Amino acid sequence: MTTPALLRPTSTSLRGCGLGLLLALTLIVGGLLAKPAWAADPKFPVLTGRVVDDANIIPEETEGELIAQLEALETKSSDQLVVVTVPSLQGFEIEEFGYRLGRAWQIGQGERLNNGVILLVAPNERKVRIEVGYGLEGILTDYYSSQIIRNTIVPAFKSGDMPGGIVAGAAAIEQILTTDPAELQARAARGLKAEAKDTSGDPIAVFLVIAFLIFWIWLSISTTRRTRFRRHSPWGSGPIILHDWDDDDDDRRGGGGFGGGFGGGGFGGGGGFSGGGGSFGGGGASGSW
Amino acid sequence: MALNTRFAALALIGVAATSVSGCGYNTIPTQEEAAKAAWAEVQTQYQRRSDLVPNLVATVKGAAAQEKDVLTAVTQARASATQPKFDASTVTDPAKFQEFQAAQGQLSVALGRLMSIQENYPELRSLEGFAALQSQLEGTENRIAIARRDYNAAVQTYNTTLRTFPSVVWAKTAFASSQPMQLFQATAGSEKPPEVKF
Repeated sequence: MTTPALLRPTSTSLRGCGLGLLLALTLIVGGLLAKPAWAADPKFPVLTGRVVDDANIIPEETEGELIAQLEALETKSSDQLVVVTVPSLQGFEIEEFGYRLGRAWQIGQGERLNNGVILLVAPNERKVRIEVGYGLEGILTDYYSSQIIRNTIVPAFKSGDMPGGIVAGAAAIEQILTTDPAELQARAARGLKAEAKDTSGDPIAVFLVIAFLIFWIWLSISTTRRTRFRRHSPWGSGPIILHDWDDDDDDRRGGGGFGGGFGGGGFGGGGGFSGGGGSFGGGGASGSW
Repeated sequence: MALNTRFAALALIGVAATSVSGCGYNTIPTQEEAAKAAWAEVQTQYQRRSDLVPNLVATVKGAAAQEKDVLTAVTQARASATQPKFDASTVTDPAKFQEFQAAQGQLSVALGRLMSIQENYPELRSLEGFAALQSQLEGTENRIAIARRDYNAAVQTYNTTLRTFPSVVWAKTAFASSQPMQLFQATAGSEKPPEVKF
C-alpha cells in the first residue's frame, strides 16, 4: 500500500505538509493571507529610466543631460537619484506618494545600503518633494533637503522655470551627496559589493538543500541495498520528495519580495534602468510654490 | 524486521521535520519578530521626536518668551509621552497601548500649536536654527506616520496568523505565550492640524 499522492507536490506553496485535508485548507487560508488588506498604493508611472517625466515638463535635450548627470553620480557613488514628475498625486499627500513610489520602484542599492533619492515634482498640485532612502538620511538630511527646496527649487519654480529648478535641484542634491570624499568612497565600495552579492544565492539555503540531497541519496542507497523493504516504503521513492524540497526553496526565494529580482542596478549604463532594492522610510522634505 | 522499523522511524522523523516547518510552525515566530521590529521603529521615531523637543523649546523661548502656555504644554506633553511605563508590554496590553497613543497624540497637538505661533514672530521664522528644527520635526512626523503604517501592516499579518488555520494550532500549543498585538487607530484630534485661537 503506497501513498505517494500525498507527498507529491501539488503546489509549490504546500511545501512538506503531510495530510491532504490540511493541505487543501492551508491553500485556502494561505490564499487569503497572501492579499495585504491595507490601503492600496497609488497608480505609479512606469520606471522607464532615471528621469520619468510623466507630467511632460522637461524638454528633451535637458532630459538627456540630466540622465547623463544622474548616471555619472551612480557610477561614482552607487547612489541612485531619480527625477520624477507626475501629472497627479491621485489624492495622496506628496509625502505618502513619495515613499510608496520609492518602495515600489526600489530605488537605491539593497543590502542595507538603501541609497536612493527621488526628486518628485507634481506641477499641478504645485508640490515638490525630495524623498531620501533610509541609508542616506544621515547625509542628505531633512534640513539639507528642505534647504535645497526652499533656496534652489522653489524660487525657480516660482519664476516659471520648471526644468531649470529640477536641474539645479538635482545638482544641489548631488553636491550634498558627494561632499565628503572619504565617506563617498566607502559607500561606493559597499554599493559595488552589494551589487556583486546579489547574483549569488543565500549560502545557508544552498547548504541546507545540499544537506538534504545527501540525506535523501543516502536513504535511497540504503533502501536499494534492501530492495525488499523498498516496496514497503510508505512514500514511493526519494526523488519525489527531493523535488518537493527543490520547489520549496524556489518558492521561498521567489516570494521574498525585497531582495529578489535585482535588475543590476543600472551599473555601467546599458539600455535599461531599474531599482536596486532600496527602501524608504520618510526621510527628506517637501515644499510648495 | 528490525531494520524495517528503524527505517520507518527515520523516515517518520524526516516527514515530521518537513511537515512541521511546512505547516507554519515557523510562521508565528517569524511574523512576531517582524511586528516587534516594526514596533521598535515606531518607538525610535517617537523617541527622535521627543529628543527634538528641548532644542525646539529653547529656540522658541529665545524669540517668543511670552508664549509660556504653549511652551509648558509641550514640555508636559513630552514628559507624559516618555514615561518608563511604556515598556515592551505596551504592544500587547490594550489599555497601556491606548494610553501610549493618547500621550503621543497630545504631544502632536502641543507641537502643532508650538509650530503655529511662528506666524506671529517673523524674527523666529528668520532664525536658521528654527528652520532646521522645523524641517527635522516635519521629517520626524512623516517618519512616525510611515512607521505606524508599517507596524499596523506587520501586526495585521501576525494577528491573522494567530487566528487562522493551520497556524492557530501552533498558536494554541507551542506559542501560547505569543499574544496578538495592538493596532494604531486614527485618533480624533491628533491627525488634524490643531486649531489656532487668539
